Amino acid sequence: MGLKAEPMTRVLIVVPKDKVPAATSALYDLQLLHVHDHVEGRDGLALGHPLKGASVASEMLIRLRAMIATLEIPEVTVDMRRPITSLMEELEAKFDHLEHEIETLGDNRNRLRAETRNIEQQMKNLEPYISLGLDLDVYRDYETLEVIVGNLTGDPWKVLRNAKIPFELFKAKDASKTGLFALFIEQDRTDEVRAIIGEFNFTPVPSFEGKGDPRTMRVRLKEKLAKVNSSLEEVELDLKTIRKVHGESLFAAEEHLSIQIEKAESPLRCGSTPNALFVEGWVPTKRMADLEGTLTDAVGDSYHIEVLTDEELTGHSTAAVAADGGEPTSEEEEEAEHFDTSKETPVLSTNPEGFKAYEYLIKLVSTPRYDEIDPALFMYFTFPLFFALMVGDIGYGITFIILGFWMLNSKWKGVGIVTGITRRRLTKMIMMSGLFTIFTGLMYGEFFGLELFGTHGLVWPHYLYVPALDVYLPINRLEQAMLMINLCIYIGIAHMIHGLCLGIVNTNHHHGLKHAILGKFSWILIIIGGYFVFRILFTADEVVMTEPVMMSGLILMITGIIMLIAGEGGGGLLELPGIVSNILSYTRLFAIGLSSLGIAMTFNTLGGIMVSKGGAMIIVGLIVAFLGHFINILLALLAPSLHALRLHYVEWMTKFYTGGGREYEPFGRERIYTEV
Amino acid sequence: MVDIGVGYGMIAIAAGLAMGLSALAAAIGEMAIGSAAVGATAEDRDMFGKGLILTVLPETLAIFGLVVAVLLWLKIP
Repeated sequence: MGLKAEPMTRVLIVVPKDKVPAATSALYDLQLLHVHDHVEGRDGLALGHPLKGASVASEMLIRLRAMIATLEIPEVTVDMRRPITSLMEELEAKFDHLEHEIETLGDNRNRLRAETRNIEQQMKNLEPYISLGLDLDVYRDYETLEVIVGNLTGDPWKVLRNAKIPFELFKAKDASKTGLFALFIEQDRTDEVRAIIGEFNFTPVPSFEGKGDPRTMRVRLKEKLAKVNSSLEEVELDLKTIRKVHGESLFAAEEHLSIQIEKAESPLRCGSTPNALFVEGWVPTKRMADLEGTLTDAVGDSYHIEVLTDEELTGHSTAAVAADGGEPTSEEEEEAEHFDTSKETPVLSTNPEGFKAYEYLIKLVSTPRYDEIDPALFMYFTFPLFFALMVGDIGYGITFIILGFWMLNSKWKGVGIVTGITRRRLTKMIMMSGLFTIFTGLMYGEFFGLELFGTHGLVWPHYLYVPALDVYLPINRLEQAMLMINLCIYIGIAHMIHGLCLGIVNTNHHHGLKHAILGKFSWILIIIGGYFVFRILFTADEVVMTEPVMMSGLILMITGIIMLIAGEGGGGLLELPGIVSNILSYTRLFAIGLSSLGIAMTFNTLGGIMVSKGGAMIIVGLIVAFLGHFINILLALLAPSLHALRLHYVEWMTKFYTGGGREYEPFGRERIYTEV
Repeated sequence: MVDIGVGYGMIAIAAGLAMGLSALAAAIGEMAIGSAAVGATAEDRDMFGKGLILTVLPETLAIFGLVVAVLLWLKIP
């Protein structure tokens, strides 16, 4: 369960030409076969040709999509799926008429929209002329005069006077437009004047075609705009009515036609000869019978199905190269030998629903390969554990669970990539982590940053002594820092050895037992041996090399290093310091928790001081403490989960995970709006 | 005031330096990675998860610093 991907069988289906439409249609509706796309010329097979009817359907689909675009239909949700026969009959009967109607209305709407924009632009252009107050005819049609209308800052008029340029100036009447002006000058001095006003940030105002008082003009434009807007509303109302009546059926027809086209174009993904079509792909092994049954129902006996084994596939590729052009070269042969089923075979994970959230998190790195261990199963336990060791607070744990229940029942749809089913899964993951957090909270004796029990416990000022482990419970994280660091290192060593064990399984499968032992088992020896050696070096008062623990540690470590060099060469030694930092990295389980605890305690102290002052400060103090914990809970969702993930991604998964698999995407798609 | 002696004062300063300098180093690392991650996410939303993880990688430095600081701090009676 969960560890391995669903077993897949690679099959080759051969269908005679006349049965292709029935066969592809059946396969599409079955949604079971992951089609391996054919490459032109492979095995001497050409690409298939699209079925008849594809081009007709395409044309209809294009027209349909244009209609949907014109109607501006948003994504609709329907409660009832429509049967396709009646749907298409209905649509064909009304198609041309409906299309004509929608097209006309759409054109009208676009024209009216353009007109509205145009009038609005004109009204905007008219604004400065209203402020200037002159009749619109005044600005045009002179033989010797030039009119400049625009905005500027400062006072160029003195300069014009000094240059002895004759001019007449009109300024805007309202105070808000001080820079607006209309300037009348002689035509032959235009360049001179433009050069002068150019230095005063001159920007021209677009000219306005029209006659008479600009205010009358504005009234006229307003009337025109109102008229256009009312006809636009009418057209949009018509379109809305059509949308209401036909929208859903158009949407459903779009889906059906898209499916028709996908079916019709499916031979393009397969190999073909003049008389037959060769479909190659993968099927979940346990559903082979379904596939064969469906094909028999669709085309009777006239198909041939063949299961391809790995050996056949390798030979198969070589044959392809040879068929292509004479003898295969040694390079091509090598390539054929390395035909990697683990990379090519699509992966359908067998994880139960509860593990899917972790599957999602693993896919953020890479999809597992077909024959690789899927780490989701282990993460289901270790992720909440790490998270809980960091947060470790009874109160926060309860809050996470309540938050989870609220998220599951609320109408909030989530943001970004965390929507739909992913949101539900991640929510359940948070709730699970909350449950673990309550347990670690009991272990630390913490409740919203307060010490509930333990040495200075508020409720139960006692502790338990566990002689076997020489540990006092609950662990006070502030006072027993050394114990926590040790605990983290033990967890780190255990987690990494687990990762290396998975690495042995994976490497054994891919490269054989020798590689697995030299490359992965050697690291386990190094970690265990190294632990004893370093432990003595750091804690013992006197280091005696001949002491049995020290000796066995050294022997394990050196054996491991020799095996590593034998397996991976001298380069492997470069990774030795890395393993130390990997293990120390697990101390974040303590460090992140300390910072979370620090924030909680700070706000408790702050709130406590305020409450002790009495009066209205009691309320302020409670609010401060509440806000502090609120922020801390948000931070706790972010930092510990990221660091727990990081421990999995960087320290753990690098020991065994390759990834780069291909996801199982069966040919066909689910009908949402229609039914057969 | 309790006289804790110069030696313990030095330990306290050392613990502070261990924490502060390692956090600074982590911050410098995250600066470059963070901006690159935001850029990648802008191009492809699917990069968000990877970017987030890459961004917290250098935080290990700060955690090592904290551990060293705690070990030093435990030496002060």
